[in-house]
Amino acid sequence: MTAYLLHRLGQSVIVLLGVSIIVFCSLYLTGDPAALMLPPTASRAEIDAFRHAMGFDDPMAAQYLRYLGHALTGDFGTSLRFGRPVTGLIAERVPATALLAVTALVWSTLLGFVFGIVAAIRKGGLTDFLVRLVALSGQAVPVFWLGLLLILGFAVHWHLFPSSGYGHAANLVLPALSLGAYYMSAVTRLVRISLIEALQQDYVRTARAKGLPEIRVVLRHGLRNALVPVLTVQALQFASLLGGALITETIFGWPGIGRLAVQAIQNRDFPLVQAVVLLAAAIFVVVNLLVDLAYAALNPRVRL
Amino acid sequence: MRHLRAVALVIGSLGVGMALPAVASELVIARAASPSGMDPAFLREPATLVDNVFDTLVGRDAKLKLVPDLALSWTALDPQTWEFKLRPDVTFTNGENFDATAVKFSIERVLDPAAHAPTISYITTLAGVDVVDGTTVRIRTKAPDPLLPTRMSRYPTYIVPPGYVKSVGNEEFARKPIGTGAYRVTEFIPDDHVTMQANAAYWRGKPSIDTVIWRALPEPTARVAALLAGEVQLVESLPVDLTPNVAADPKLDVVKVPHGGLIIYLGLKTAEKPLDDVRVRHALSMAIDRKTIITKILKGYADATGTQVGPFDFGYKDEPIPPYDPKQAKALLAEAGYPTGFAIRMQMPRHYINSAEIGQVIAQEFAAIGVTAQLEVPEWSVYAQQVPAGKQAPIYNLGWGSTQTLDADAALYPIFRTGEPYSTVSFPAMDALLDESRHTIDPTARAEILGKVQDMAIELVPALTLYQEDSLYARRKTVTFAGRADARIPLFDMTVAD
Amino acid sequence: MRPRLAAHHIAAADLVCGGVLLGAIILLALLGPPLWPADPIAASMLSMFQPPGRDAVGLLHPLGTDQIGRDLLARIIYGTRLSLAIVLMAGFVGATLGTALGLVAGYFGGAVDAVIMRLVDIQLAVPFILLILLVMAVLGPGIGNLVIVLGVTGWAIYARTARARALELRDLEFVEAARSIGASVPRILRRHMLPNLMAPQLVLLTLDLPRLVVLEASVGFLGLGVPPPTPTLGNLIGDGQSYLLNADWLVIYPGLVISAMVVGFNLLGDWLARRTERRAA
Repeated sequence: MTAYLLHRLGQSVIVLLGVSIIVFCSLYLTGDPAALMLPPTASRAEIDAFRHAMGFDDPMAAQYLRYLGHALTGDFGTSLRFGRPVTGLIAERVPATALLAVTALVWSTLLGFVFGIVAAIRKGGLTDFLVRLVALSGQAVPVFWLGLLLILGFAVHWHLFPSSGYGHAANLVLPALSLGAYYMSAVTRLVRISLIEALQQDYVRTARAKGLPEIRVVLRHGLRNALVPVLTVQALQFASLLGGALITETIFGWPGIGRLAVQAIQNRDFPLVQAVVLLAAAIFVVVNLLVDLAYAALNPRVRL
Repeated sequence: MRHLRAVALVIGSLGVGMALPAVASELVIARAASPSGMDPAFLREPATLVDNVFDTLVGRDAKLKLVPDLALSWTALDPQTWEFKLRPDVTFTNGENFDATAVKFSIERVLDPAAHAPTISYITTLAGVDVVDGTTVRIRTKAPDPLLPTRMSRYPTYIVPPGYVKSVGNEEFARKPIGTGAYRVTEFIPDDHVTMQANAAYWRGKPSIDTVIWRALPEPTARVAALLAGEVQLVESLPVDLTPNVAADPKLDVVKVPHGGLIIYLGLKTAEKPLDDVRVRHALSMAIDRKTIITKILKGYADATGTQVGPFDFGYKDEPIPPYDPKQAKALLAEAGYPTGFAIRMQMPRHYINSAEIGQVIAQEFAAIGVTAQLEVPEWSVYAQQVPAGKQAPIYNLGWGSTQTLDADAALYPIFRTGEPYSTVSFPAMDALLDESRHTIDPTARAEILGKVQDMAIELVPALTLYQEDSLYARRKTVTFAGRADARIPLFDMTVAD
Repeated sequence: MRPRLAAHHIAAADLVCGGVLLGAIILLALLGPPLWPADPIAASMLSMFQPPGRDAVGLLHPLGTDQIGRDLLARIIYGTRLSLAIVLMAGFVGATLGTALGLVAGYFGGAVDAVIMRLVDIQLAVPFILLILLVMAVLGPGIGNLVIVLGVTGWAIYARTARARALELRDLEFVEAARSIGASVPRILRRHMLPNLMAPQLVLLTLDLPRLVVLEASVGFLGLGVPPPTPTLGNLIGDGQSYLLNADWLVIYPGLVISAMVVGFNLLGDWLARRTERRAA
């Protein structure tokens, strides 16, 4: 177990290093940060002096090592737009994104289970077909389009929920709906398939033969089977949720990391983008690691 | 069933809560952008918010006349030294005293080259600040600067508390600013909102509105939807295409500030062929149907103009609007040796009011006289770096304003003087006039010189001047707000009825 | 007894529905311009924000017009065409690159394998959209850049499956045989191994296309894809967003096409997957 743990940890570190190199290179390729950091009216001489002072004229490898050194001490650079350390900027946006992500995951998981169970029980029937349709459309509709349609209906036409803002429960409804729709579909599909599989097992047939009502058979025997894969997938989804949050937050004016990242990209605020990419990768790597370790702990045969 | 009803109730109440009218004495304002920080020395955006938190030595009244503010009076001791007498007994909202030292500190922290203040260009003419006594400062300029009092009327010359800034540092100060102004910032959530409370001890008196919330809603749809739903009472930068939606609601008003916006023009790289020929420049100008663009695409919320100077600016001269005459334009092109026209790159960013759309229309109008304009719609952040570096297309779109100084100098010098970062033209005669205006203190003589520059622009066409945008707001009728040509939202002068 | 649909009926329904949706969209993209000759770029100040129907001068705009009077149907046709082309090319780039690297990793194993698989991990650790936006911001907008970026960022899953299959194949008799008669490695990979994983990789490509459709649209929506005035399905919605209050058709119709495209590819992919599974069984 220890060997496995060390192996996986080592892999994770390599991945993070790799991401940092890629991100650093893309930043390096954008050209001269000095020109971006100084006011447009700065003279050539001023830019040169500044570049030298900041070490932007050092070789790329040296600059990367310095960047890495700073990063290891928690210094990820200064935002060009805000003129503040990026760590602080990101830290103050974490609560908003976390709130949105957790809400979206919770409702999508719950509803996904309900739909999945209903579809599995009514497999092949009209209900199953309808549920599949819902699931399919949840994955078919791009999150930004769904978000705009929700705004159009609930905010513009019916004035039920605000189209953007942060701080009240009402503000959370539409963004969480649009962010969660995709995951709801995924859970529905997964629960349905796992249940159908489980329900074909012999012990389930026995339970049925004993005359237990179908719903109890499903809930008791089927769900246990479905729980592990679904929770695994949701954990991994959570890790990639930042991608979806990027667009949802932009549409609904949600002051989270996603919107910060999109604005940073649009403003070419590269130190900030770099830090967000690293953060996203770190979350992904850590969640993956935890999921793998949980698997290994539950099932000692798993050794990669 | 009962559960269902409960759920419906909860959902309903969530929604209804938002639709309730605002409590008296609270005002919610929606703007397109959130401030990234509120340190007036390091602003990278309009000063709309900080304007209500800080004061300047010189103010501007509703008619945009310079009036005493934190300074009671000012005089030029000699052409390069100005003396300001300061208002006594003013304190910052943290209790710190306002005095001559605060003035010196506030200005010198911008002038310090090591600070890299993005706002320094507004006061580069300053040489230094001397404290004479507690309520007297002298400001020295490098050369005679007739605009010095104007420079003391807006950012970056807001007065900040030296003790507080030094103790918390610039970064913290940008998030928790403290000034002498009518309001103090109580909450700042970047990209969401800034909350301000009235400063009850304000030296002018207690403001009428207790709480003001500035919300950042970048999407125009979101701003207007929030207004229609009653979540906000005042909207800045109302998009022209949504004015009918606001006008249709009896509780709402469109507030139009004529000549309140930028002057939009197409910059020309006049050193490059074929734009080096003045006949070609005239032809391009004549190919544009300014009137139709304004009525159709700007819904009438702009005024065609022949000069880069706004009518509120000192030195404005009412120049004729270039005529729309495609026939004459074609003839001029033929005369210049381009009977079949030419192809040229043109950049119109999606930044000014409907500017990308207008670019499309102008490209078609150019096509009508045989000029193929290859239209590019660059992203603003990239374009904004390209332009001062001279890397833009030969025809490029900019909006220029002089809300900072309300003086023709700011409208003309940076874009028509050879060698300025935003200038792509070089006309020695024009340079001479522009330089002369900067060294002329006498207002009448200055106005005359600036008038000559504008005449010369009609003749030489250094840029295709198009129109001046109106600035547009939308308000609930309960809010008093008339809009100002200098784009301020002066909370102290405003009220909210029940 | 409730009516039940047999599995093969569902499969057939997938094929028919998916085929019809995709067929319609491809026809729209290919035949659209000659059938509907309205200009997708030129402004017409006579018919701005015209709701679906006839404008003031009697011209028919079945899906309405935009803020400068351009016919939305024409813009959707050109947008669909461009988006579809970008997505197919990007899918091809990603599948080719990923399959090649996966084959190499699986065939050689050892250090080569370890390096390539870590690259896969690195690629998958960064949210696609974030990476694509970053790279587009660095490279600048444009069709070519978009194809490359979408393709290159999508290689990882192809590499994983190709590697797994290559691991199985490399020790099989016919590969051994080829090796023993002295066939070169590129020849073995191309002639003997590649044909055996074409089918699963194609299924994967079909299932991956919906993801690419949405990604391409998202990048366009955020304004970092193909620059205006050239329409793509994503930038049409991005532009239309500002007019949700007065011209909602600008957002609704392009979105419908995207959704139809995604559903079409999904259904077809499901059907293909099931078919190859049945064959393999």
